Amino acid sequence: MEFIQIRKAAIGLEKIVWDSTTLKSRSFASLGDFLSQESNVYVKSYGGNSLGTISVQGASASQTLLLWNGLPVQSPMLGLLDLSLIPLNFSDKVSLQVGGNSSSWGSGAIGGVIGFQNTGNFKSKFELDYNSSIGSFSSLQQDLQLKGGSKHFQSVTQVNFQKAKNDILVRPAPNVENYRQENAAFLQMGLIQSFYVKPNDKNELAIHAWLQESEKEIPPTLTQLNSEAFQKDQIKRFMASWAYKNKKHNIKVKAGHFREQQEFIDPQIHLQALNKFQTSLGEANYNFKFNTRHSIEVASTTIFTMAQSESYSEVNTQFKTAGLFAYRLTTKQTQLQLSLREEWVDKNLLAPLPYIGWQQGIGSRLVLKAKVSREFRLPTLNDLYWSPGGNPELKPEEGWSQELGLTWRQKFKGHQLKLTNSVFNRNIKNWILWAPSDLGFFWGANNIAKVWSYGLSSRLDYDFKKGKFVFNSNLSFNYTNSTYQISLDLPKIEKGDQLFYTPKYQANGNVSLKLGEWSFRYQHLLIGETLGANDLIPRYHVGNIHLAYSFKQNNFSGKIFTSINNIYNQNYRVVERRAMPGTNLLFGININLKK
Amino acid sequence: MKKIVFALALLAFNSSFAQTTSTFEDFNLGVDSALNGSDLQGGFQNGNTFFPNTFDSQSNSWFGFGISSMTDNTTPGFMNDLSCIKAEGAMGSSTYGVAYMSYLTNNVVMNLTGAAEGGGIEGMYVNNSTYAYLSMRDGDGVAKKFGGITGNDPDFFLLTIEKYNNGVLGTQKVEFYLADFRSANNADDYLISEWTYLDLSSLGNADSLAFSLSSSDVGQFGMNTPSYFCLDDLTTKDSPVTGIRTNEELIDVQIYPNPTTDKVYIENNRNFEGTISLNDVSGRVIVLSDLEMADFIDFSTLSEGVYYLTIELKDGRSQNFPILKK
Repeated sequence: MEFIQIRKAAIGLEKIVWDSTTLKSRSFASLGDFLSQESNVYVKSYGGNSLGTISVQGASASQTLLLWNGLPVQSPMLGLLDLSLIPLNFSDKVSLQVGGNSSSWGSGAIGGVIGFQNTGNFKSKFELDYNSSIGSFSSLQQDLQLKGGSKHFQSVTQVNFQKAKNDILVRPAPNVENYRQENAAFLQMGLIQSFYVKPNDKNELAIHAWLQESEKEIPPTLTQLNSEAFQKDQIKRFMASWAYKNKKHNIKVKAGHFREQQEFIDPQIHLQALNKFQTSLGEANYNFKFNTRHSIEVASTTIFTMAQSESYSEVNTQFKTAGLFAYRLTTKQTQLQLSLREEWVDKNLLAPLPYIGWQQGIGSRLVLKAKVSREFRLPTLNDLYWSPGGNPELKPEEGWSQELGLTWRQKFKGHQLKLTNSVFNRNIKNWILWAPSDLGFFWGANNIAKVWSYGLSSRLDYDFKKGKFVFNSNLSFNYTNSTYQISLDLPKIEKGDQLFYTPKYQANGNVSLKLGEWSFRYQHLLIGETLGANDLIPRYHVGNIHLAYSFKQNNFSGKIFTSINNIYNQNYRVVERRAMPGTNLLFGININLKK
Repeated sequence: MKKIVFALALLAFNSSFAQTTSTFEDFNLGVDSALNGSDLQGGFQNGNTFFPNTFDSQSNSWFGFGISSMTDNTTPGFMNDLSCIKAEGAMGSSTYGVAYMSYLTNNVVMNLTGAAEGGGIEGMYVNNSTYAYLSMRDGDGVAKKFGGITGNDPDFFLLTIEKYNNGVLGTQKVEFYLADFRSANNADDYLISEWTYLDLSSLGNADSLAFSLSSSDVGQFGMNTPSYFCLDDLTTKDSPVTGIRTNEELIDVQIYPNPTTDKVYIENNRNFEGTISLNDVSGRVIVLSDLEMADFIDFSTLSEGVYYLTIELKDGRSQNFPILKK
């Protein structure tokens, strides 16, 4: 039973949730790989275990919020999180809320919100789950999860080890000799230890510690002879939460402390750069239900950040605190949410952030969703203080977004159909861009851009179940027009140009079959032509298949699985001058022992 | 000090003139040292040439000209940006100049001073910087290896030298390929790694020279190839060259002094009618006035750097005058 929740889902927005069963059935190493194949968000990947960042609804990577158990984990220095460093097996639940919701979550929730959570299961006395896989490019992944306890106490230990040589076969161009990529190795070790205490049905306490170290070599581009650069990331994240719940009152209190450092080393150019930050976070949330129809929520969040870099003239700090008030109306067919957030950053009061969301059932099969909200994103610490170019006078990016969606559901004799269509519109001003400074010899951060984004998203789910046969499928399509509304000499932008690395067209499809112990899944992803910083990146498509055989005897169960990724051996690029792997294989075994 | 001053009696164009060569040797740099403008003097005077420099103390970054005796020609990257690929100056000397272009204007301007101001220019030696050379040869995280993936890309790295006289940009220019991979025969592709003499006498009389770099490797964020080159032994003729002076002075308005620390005077003896404006490098208008009303512009409150003074006449003619505030 899941008790501690993150904040309530916003009314008026689409939300997709993948539970632990779904996540365990996937063999992706990282959250980035998973989201790029399973959702309609765009993951900008530099290949292999290299950097992966996300774009939702044409927003930038720093405009999509990432939450670990409800607390933001993006680097306050960069404003983004490298999704390749989040092991998928560290999550018991992943959620994707598409659309702006700054009112609930504050800075950075312009494009959407991605949550990954750890949850306790008080029914478990003992459970061991071991996952091991080997694959192409000398990849090896080991995951161990140990759960144990009683109905009042649970301990969950999750360990992840990954390594890969990533010596993919680079196919630079026709009539050019192929070669193996060098300096691309990846090594990562991580641990999440969670304790859950549930003294009674009304209270639950959780403590999580996430320790992780990774080292990734940075391979040369296709137009670079060699590279010796590498990057070390060290993560220490701690959080504790307490939740109280009865019929009328629901209280959640969270506190977290994150210490992270990133070191970039390039021996060739004699460069060693160390960046460190620590963040302390506190959040309190109170829900009161007047009756079954009316409820209110009051919440407060405080975040204090300290960051240190050789490119900062001093240790920089940021203190921000926010208050949220929300009212919700819930009837059988209608849901309404009115929220208002007020945020102070280093004692500066920002403009209020309202949110109006509405959800209306029409008959038993149709649901209409709509929302209007004000969005914002604070400048990152690098935007403010990086030397040279940081600009302490920067204002937050801000604007309004609107969303309208219609969902149709139909069920009949084991068949289930769901069609979701939505359109969105968003205008953001004070968009932060780095452009040549007045002096002309370095780039500086400025609020110079305006960006207008609009688009539509369509997703069809069809599921069928009969006896031991289960069929699940989905097909989704995204059109995203996200354009600059200004012209600049540098970066070279004409008014109406699509944002860099933001595809206009994207589609993906998933089909999975399960018959008894056997399961098969096929995934296909299409990305349209995308404008990169140097070249136009041609459209590409990638297909993956996954086959698994499950077994179970008493308390012992498991599966043997294999994946073939990029089965059509496409020679594609996500970022120009960066090679992506051709057809590659993965073999693995999963063992689960329960008492 | 090894400043070379020639006093030559030449009968070219019925005039006699001296020559001055900026060798940079009189900075007396030890081996493997460099000046990047951190003394905040705004540049370097050598021979009859002033090499402007803009330095940002906070970030220790610079653009314009630096002076160097660095010999490391194997370390790639921006940490070794003041080194020449030859690891020495021209003619085996120890010291040379390094030029780094501004992102905004993609050029740097140096000023002829003293007897050389308004005179002719003999020539200079140029070479690639280690940073640019190794980036073009091997590629880096930003810039491409010249020739590209196939080796057939028609890449180039071009140095263009133009001159100003009385603030007027001349029509003549001298172009030199620091790297040229445009030939259909890849065996003809080359990267300059030796000091090469450029004859600049065709530029005629000048009071300043503008250097600009362009590359085939350009992205949305500008030129990827590091915008550096090295120079040495710039020789000026320390008097006007008669017979070569060209008629590019379209508007007979005198702007002086340049560089300036205080006021720049505008002598409009022919009473042209029009406007005069002063912009900074970002294009921001600082001064806008009727030309007839303008006697001088006060630079004393402006920060150091390059500014652009533009005269637009009512008959449609216009001219730009880059002004260096020191």
